[in-house]
Amino acid sequence: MKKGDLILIGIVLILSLFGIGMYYLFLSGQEVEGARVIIEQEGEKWGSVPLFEEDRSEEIVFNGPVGETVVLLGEDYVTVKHSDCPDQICVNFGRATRPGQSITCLPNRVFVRIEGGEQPDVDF
Amino acid sequence: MGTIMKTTKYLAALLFMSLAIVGCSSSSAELEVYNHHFFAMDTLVELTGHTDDPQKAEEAFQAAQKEVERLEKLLSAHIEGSDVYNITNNAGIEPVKVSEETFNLLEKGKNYGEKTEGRFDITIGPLLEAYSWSNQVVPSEKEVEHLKELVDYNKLVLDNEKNTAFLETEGMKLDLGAIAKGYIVDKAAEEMMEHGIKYGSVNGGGDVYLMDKPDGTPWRIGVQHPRMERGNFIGVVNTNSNSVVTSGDYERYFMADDIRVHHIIDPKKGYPSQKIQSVTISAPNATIADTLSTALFNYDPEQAVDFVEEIDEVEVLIVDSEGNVFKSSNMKEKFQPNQSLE
Repeated sequence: MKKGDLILIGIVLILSLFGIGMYYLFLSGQEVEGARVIIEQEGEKWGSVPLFEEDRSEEIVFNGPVGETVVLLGEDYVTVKHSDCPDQICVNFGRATRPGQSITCLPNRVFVRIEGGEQPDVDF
Repeated sequence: MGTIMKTTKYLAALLFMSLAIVGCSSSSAELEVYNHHFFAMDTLVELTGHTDDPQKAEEAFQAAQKEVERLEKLLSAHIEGSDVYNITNNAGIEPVKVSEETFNLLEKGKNYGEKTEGRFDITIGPLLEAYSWSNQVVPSEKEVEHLKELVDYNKLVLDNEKNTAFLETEGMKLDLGAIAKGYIVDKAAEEMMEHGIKYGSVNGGGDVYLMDKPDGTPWRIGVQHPRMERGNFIGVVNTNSNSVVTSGDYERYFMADDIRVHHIIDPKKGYPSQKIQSVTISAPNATIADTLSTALFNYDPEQAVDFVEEIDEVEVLIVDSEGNVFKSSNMKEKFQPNQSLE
């Protein structure tokens, strides 16, 4: 094998590894880091936003059959800050911070769920 | 020329190798995961199926939802015209003819009453109705004493020849809440499997049916720490069972004079038991897991473990009022405690 062969093999090898690296960085990376908060009311999607957003503190007010349900999107969590529902199960849930977690306000039919992102270390 | 030919071969080989590496990593995700959710049984029902056929998933979800809605109309205590509603409405008056399915579930519920010596009772309706978790109402002692008289599974008369059910005393009320949800979850899973979904799950507000897991590994079920914020687990149950259900005193409760008034009322005492914070059951189906996770709340923890040891394929994990953890023998292998809490 000549010196030129070795150089060419080296270049091809580097290019191949670069390609694999780019694949993991940009394609599979979306699955790893892309946790999103899905919010719905009465089955209608309000929206889907990233779980992580620096300095975020956004309140979304939903009006339902029993009054208001206020969802708070924090920097790295989502929570129900206030709800006019009688049982307060959604408020008592506290903060949802990881994929797979969901908060439901049944009387006002508000549904919040964290999806995607890193595989949670538990299934339920 | 020779060099170029050889280089081309190396290039082809290397490209092939790199494609093969990327190809392998993609093939582990051949099955797509599909989700569907809807509100029923006063809770959110979440269906998940792993399949390569989106249409199959959609058909399975629709069939499962239909099944849930059909059964809710049959078994809910609050839906006018349901079998359960009709039996309660005719308490002390006359027997009511019911569907075979309702009859079988009533029989099952009554059997659990006998097995648990009344710690589980499907005639608990009058007591449950006297409490209000939204308005933080606890019935008076006198009221509890009176209502307890109306709670007795022995006074539910089932005639299997006529397929009728009869509550002997006026004022008695059926409540299948602690068995029917598990049953409906099982039936929804059955529908999905009949529609070709092999891998997936049904979650009806914490009553979970687990089909096979696509990668063949055991399911990992986090057991909520009863006194910490959601998502903090005391540990994880690794299981191949078809159902894992946890009942906890933290789900629906209010504090009254330093007493936690939670939603699992002991039918014999008329008050929520203060001995246990949570009961986790793994079982072959959600009907059993749902029933036992409620029934065992009204036992002493050691007694509850002994009770489960006698039942095949059922395991239990209990957190008592002091935070001590009790496990049945096979649960010891399945449970992986959260090291950071120790």
